Amino acid sequence: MIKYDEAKACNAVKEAMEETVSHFGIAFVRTLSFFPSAHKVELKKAA
Amino acid sequence: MDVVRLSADDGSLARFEADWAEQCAEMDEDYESYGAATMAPIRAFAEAKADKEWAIAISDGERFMAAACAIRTRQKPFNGEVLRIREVTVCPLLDYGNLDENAYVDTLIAILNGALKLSESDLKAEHIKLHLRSPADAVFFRAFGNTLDSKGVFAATEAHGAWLTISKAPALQLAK
Repeated sequence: MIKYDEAKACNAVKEAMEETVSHFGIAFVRTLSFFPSAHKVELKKAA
Repeated sequence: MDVVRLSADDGSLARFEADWAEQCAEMDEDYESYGAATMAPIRAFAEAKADKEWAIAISDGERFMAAACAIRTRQKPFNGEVLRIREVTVCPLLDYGNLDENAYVDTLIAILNGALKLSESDLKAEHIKLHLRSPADAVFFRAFGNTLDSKGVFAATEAHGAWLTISKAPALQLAK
């Protein structure tokens, strides 16, 4: 079983997020639901 | 960036709201309608100040970069406590593209690492679940989950349905 190490965990999250954002690009990140304006764009498209 | 609790009692909710109202004003936006769907539960949590249901924010020391609800609960089929992060909302300056690109990445990292820190302190939990509200969320966090899983730091990382689940130890226990 993997022993949980908070410092390693936080660093792994940082690395994984940087790699994922690098792959998808910032433009895609801005479409995430965390961005309220992305939701407004979806509503406009639906209308 | 650090994770902080928002509470109506200690003035942190008021400071948060003043900051985001000011950010909205810079963007000629109306704070009252900013992220209306997610801000309502965040405010409600900050006002209720329940032990296991927190309103949280990510602060860079000057500004509040994001806010969310953090709920500690027990949930089948998980063995141990689960910390659920819902209603994640970024600040108006990020939303309207007024900050450096690095701020996007740093804020996403701070949200997840803030949840990890809470799960080791005030809201102790073995599993962290991040609510994914849109198809774009699911695509992005499935890829993130796979990359994180490959690091071999967590017992398991999985994006399934509307949730990204990061499990520390012990591993998932199947429901009977």
